[in-house]
Amino acid sequence: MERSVEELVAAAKLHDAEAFTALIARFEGIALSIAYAHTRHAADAGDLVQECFMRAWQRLDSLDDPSRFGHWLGRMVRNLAIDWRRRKRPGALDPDIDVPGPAAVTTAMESREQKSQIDRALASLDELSKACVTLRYYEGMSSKEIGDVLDLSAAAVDMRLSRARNQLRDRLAGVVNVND
Amino acid sequence: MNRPNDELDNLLRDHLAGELDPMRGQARRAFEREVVAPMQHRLRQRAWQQVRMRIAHAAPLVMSMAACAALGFYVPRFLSSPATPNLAVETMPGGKPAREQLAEITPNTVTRTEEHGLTSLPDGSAGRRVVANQVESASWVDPQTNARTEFYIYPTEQEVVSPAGRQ
Repeated sequence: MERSVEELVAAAKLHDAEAFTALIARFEGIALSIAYAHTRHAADAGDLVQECFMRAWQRLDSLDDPSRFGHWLGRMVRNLAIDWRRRKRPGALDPDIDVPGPAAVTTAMESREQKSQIDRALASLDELSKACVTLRYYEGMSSKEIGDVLDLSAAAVDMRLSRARNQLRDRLAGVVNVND
Repeated sequence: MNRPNDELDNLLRDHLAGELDPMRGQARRAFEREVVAPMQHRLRQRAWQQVRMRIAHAAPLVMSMAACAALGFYVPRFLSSPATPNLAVETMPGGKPAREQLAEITPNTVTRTEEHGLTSLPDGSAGRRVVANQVESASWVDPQTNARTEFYIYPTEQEVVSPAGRQ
């Protein structure tokens, strides 16, 4: 029988490492989605999530409501991501800068080039919208669940998703067939 | 927005899965490496420490019990051991009490005298000087084992000066 988040958090607060490992397994995707929205690189997101869970283990006592673990963790990931961006080298390449237009994309493009195109399209979104998109498409979360994690209402999530989707459709016009 | 057949949705799902799926499991592995493994190491150390403490506490008791067991085993054997015969009552094959047999010690005295010639006595007359060396020994043979024990008394030397005219 699968233990609830509240039970796992209560056990982890008593230094039950196995319970915390179960929490990692359950929330790793959410943390990765949020971190990826901020770092724009999967490897950096992975590093950030590792650091985040280590910090969460150390600061678990500060979590008052165990049912809000996802929200608490999401905020921690965002704060760590902000720190990470401050620490990032000033000369590092920002994917936002290089966003070629749809004309540069052809249907014969290699999958690697297509991946690069999608990366650039996602990078053109603001961090919160990108987090909404990642949580929806990678984790399959509902608007309410996304709102709980990101401190947004479900309506605000829907609005951001709608705008993001339109923006991505425009950016990726050469990659996908726009049929609606 | 959420139509499953939408090509953009599928593209985003595949892209995000391709990017983030390889990162899954890293946090768990890092947590196990950084937290769980040291925690288990500390637990094992604590368990060993407890075992050592219990051994240290139990050692005096175990040693006392061992000493008691050893005393209970060896002392009765020692008291009833044939190696220490009761000389007062035990008899030898010849029918004589062992104490009597032990008392049959053979004394042996060897005396050797040497003539050291004439010497002058305090009154001016001539005298003879004789030195006598005497070695005393005693031996005993155990009739049961034929073991031989021999004692030597430190040799004595005696010088005798007698007037030469008395010879």
